Amino acid sequence: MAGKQVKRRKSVVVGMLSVVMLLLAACGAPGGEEEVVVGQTDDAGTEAPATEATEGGATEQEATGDPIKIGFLAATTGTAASSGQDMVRGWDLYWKVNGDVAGGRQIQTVHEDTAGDPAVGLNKAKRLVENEEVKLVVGPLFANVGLAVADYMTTTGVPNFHPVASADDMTQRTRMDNVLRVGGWTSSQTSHPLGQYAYDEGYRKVVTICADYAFGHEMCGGFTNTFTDAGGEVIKQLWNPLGTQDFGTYMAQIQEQNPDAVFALQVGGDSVRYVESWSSFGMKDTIPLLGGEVLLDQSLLRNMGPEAEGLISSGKFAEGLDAPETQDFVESFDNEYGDLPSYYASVSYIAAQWTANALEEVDGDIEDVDAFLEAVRGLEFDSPGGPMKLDEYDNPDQNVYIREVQTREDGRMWNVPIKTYENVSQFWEYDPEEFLECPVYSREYQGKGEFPEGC
Amino acid sequence: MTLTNRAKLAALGFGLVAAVAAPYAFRPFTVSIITLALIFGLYAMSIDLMAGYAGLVTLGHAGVFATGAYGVGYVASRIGGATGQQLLVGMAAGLVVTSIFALMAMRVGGTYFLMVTLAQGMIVWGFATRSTDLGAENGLTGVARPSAFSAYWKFYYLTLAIVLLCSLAMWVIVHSPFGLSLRGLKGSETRLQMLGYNPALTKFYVFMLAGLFGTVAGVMYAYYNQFVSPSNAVFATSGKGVLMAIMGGIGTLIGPVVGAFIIVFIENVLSVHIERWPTLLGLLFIFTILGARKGFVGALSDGWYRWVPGARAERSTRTVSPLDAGDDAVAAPEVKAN
Repeated sequence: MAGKQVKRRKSVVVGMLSVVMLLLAACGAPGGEEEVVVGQTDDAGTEAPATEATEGGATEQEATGDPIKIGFLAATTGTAASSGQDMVRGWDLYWKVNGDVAGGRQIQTVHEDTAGDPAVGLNKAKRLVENEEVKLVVGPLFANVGLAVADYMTTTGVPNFHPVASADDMTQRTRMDNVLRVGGWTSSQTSHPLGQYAYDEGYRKVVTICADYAFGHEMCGGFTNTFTDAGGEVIKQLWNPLGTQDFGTYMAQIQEQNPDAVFALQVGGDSVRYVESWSSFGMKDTIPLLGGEVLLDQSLLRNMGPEAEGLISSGKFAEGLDAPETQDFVESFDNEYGDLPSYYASVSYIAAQWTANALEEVDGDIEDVDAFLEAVRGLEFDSPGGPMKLDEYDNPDQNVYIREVQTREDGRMWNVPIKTYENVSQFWEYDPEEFLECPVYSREYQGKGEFPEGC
Repeated sequence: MTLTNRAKLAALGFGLVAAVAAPYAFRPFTVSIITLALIFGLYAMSIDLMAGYAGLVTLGHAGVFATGAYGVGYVASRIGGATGQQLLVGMAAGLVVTSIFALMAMRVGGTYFLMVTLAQGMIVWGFATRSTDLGAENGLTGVARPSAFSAYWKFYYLTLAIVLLCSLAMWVIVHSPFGLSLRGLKGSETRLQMLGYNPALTKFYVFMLAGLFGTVAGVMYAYYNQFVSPSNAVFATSGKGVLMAIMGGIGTLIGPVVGAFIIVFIENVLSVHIERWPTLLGLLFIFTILGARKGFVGALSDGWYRWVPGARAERSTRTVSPLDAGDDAVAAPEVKAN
């Protein structure tokens, strides 16, 4: 046959193969067209409450130095997409309202989606640090993704802030130098006060029902530990798998115990179904319910009906808190997105506020990581969640509110504080060193009995 | 040497040169993504050994993969053992679990095989999410790469070498008489039995071999991520391996690697530019099933024989092996075993 033609054909095929391979590989090279979201100073700034903005001294500031790139990780697809979106909204809102210049340098955010998968999140963090050369990584959302990312970030030396991921050990037993819980919280931090509150309310026999994974174990452990230390008794602990569709059997088991009150911690759609069952089984009228923060978070209240009205929970953020910082934030969030802010939005907003304030202190020199982190650690300021300050372990000491779900004048529900525990430490009133000698809360270790016995 | 073989060799040579040159040509992040694709390529190949060659589609291979990873992670993070111990425990754990799974699955076929393997994967996942010794939902952190391979490019070459070695071993396996008995298993189990083979034992062997390579991939994955979490064992990881094999070209050794590259790059690189990347992935699967059943490599090979005159001529003279004919004759009424 025509040998020449064949050869040419062959070289075409080989050429195509190589092009395909190169294309596959070249996809990884930075295209320079990444979605860089830059807060718009002029347009959105007009809507912002001007007084607060000038107080921070951030608005109308001219950018003089090079821009600072900040990576922002959140699960914006997958099961937690709506929470992830709220994180992004909170973060972006701060720069929109207060201007995108801090310490004389413009802030550019590179958003990345982790899809809620630790492996994907880790690769996204690598991309941010190695390809985008960001100076700071904020996020991600899930605790397991957070632990994976944090572990990698220590090897890079680039600071990593965790406003949402709340795995206790991140700022406890496996603390790392450049991983800070700026704006964030440890799971048990908000449930410790609730145990004390339950006892003070006169409840003595309590049943707990929590989602059966690390976050649920830690939230439940916090409640159980302080409640039993105060003198109360946890008569039964129920653990339901994530994604429980029908809470009927659990409701029956709870009724059988006839407790004084019930502590419940569910996440996402489980929370909606739990609160629904709680009401439809008639428990709402007979047994007081004490919820963990995310059982009644604003992101879920949006999808709940009157069955949620009046329920009690504890949390570090209460959108109904009557403080100027909180209400300014709630109002601008509502104006911008048409929703009341969830805790995911508030902590991300606080993380942005914290970053901006620290950048002001070091005149935008984020490259000097030690000085920047020192500024971050030294800050004390009022945020939408109340006064903020990092403890020695890089977790904020912050207010924890006992909140009640109330209906606003416009018909939407929100969490209004009925009691405030001020400056709550992640170790509650325990001695940090003694506390850290005990294991992290798990199914097996719930801190039952007198602390520190039983660990 | 025929034209087709020469082209294959040329492509292979080019691929090797490109693989060796990659760390010089690309940025660290891209190299680490290629490393990841190679690891998943090995994982998908081990699935293809069962699904493509022996016709045993497994939906629980992530269980084996994760066991290897957890073996390494447990020793590294909870016991603080050296690399040698980590490797030993990782491989041993993977192989022990595989042998138990293989014993459970060797006597069933078809849909039952799917169900049994699905359950096996879920058992590992369930155990991983609930065991506090294994870090439960949070997984195990603090897995360090061997110090000699901690730099990204050294780890890349290590991975490349291991994947090449394993591929070579698999190539030898599928071209050996045992490889032929695997194809016999796919063609007709009863005939294989009639010819004096023991189908159950053949299944056991291939399960063990796939488990061996799957465990190697899992061990490498633990070192790649430097942490281990239950999402390694989740059903989606099993499914992903099967999809990689199908998308690349099932029943070939290079196909799963190509599929792994496509999926890993969509997940990690394209997702930066396209917000709805899971949709894109889904569309690609649908397109593969509808338009290119033999996968990427199959389509390429079809195109080659169709459009290159020299190759077309070769195909028409190619002798048909009795086993290929056997494939077509499966329709013969099957005699129930026992």
